[in-house]
Amino acid sequence: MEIEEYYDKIYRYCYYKVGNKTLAEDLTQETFLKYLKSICTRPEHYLYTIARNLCIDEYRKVKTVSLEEETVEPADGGFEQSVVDREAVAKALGKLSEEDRELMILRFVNDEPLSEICKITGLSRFALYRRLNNAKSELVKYLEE
Amino acid sequence: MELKADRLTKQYDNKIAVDRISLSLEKGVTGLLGANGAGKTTLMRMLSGLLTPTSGEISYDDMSVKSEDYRNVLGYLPQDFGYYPEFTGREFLMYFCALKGLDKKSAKARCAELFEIVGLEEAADKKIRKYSGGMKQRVGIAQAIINRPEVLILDEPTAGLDPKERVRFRDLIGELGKESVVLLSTHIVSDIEHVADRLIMMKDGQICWQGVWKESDGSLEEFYLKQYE
Amino acid sequence: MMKDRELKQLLQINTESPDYASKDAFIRRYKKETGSEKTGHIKLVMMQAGYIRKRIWIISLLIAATFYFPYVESEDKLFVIAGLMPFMAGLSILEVFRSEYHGVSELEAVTKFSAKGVFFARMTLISAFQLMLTAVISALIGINNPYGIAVSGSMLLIPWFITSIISLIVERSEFGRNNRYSFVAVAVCVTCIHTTLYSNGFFQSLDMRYLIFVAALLFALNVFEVRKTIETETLVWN
Repeated sequence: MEIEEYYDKIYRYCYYKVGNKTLAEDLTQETFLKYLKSICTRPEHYLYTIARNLCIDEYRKVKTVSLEEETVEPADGGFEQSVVDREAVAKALGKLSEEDRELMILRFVNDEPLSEICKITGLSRFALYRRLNNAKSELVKYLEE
Repeated sequence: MELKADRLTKQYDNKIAVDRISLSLEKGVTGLLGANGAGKTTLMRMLSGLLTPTSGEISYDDMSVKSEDYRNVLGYLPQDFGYYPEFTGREFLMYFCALKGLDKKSAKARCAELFEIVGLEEAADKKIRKYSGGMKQRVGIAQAIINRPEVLILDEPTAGLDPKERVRFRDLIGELGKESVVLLSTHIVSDIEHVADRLIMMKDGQICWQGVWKESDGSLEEFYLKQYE
Repeated sequence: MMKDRELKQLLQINTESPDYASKDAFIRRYKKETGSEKTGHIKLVMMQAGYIRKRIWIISLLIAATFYFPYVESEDKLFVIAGLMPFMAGLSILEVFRSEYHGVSELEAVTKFSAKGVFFARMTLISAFQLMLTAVISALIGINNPYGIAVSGSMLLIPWFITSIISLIVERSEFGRNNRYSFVAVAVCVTCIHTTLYSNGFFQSLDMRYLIFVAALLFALNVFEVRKTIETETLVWN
């Protein structure tokens, strides 16, 4: 596993789950440190599994702190760039369900092959294919709005 | 993280290019100011391990500057450098990624990142021989930071850059200086006065002044010119 | 409906990138923890193979292929090909010194493998290829002539070694550094001398077995010159 190849991918994966840059950075780095501690011959999709679990733990932490406090910013609230396209993309991604957003990031941003996404999400190839198409249609609809 | 030089001297026949220079560089940006012929390039080549001093010692933490371990943590941009004429910008960087030990997939990811950092995404697949002077310099800077160096030695890195490119470069150096030892040389004061944490001024192979320059100390340019009177 | 490729491009350009300084520092620490592999010469040699220009391999093959030229009398084949070997050696010099000519050697010098490593890798690759070609030609010629394979091989290698040795010495000098094609002059001189000697019947009057010892001596001298060139500091900067 080469960190150069995966750092940005895991960062984006975490960012679109937790919606906060600093938190995403911390979770990314924790992911790699955990991966290092594990038996290092495990395949790269294990990185995503670690990242996903860390993000879930983070969600749980926030919920126990306060239900009213929205400490996790929505995905379209964390952007500093004023570029219109970036905001529009973020907004559109934010409108998707979390599962669909995850699939979009894995497939279209991180360019992961379908076989890998099946391993990461636990979906069958057919189910994945169907979910991806639906998610894509929705995202395109939001982007064109 | 400390790059130390102790009484470094480099002599060629009757000329002493660097004369008993001692310095200690830590994390942050150090600007090396001096006119052409002051000995900046010779000093930087010795600090990069390319040139053996006539006398004196150099070390980085507990590494020899001639070792592979040091080369793994070093980034260097010479004052003049060339390129194989058949290379595109991307091929040039991929070649150096390979020489710096990155495998193909990592090299691809790293190159994409570097082109974004130096603002050459559009020109990445064009031949370097068609690049402007500023573009060539930016590719050179990208090459120097491929391996995320702990020690970054840049010899006149702003030569050929237009004002917008200089600003971008200063921002990049400011970022890099947070976690690395950066030494950059120039004879243009404005290039480093706001970005350098420390300054070293050289004249005739020796250090004539070194320290931290504050705005309250007045015009750095005037002070620098005074050294040459 | 937007195509997959368009959507991919749109999303990839417009999604967040991590903070550079933080990423940089973390990756550096991470790589230190995981440790980097020590230099493998074989790895370097294989990597450099992709960067040696195709014309070097092709011209070397063409020179070796003159064995098949029909107009050359079979008893002259050995001496004709031997007369072309200086140019084969010159090609290898041209290619290994490319870094110097194009001002890239200083950049290569500060890499994991260093300029010396790159020089050595190129020298190894090209020499190995050309020596392999020479071995094949020696076998093809030697089988059918009274000199035998070893003497035929020596006949071919001697001009190659002489050109290589002289070119390396010239390349280390000021003249050689400023004149990229100085190896051409060396190759032409060696070929002219070789042709003159052959026309005057010099080789035919020799006890050819001594050539094996001469070839072995020149091989050792060539290795010495290659090492001296690699160790020369001026190789890594100008």
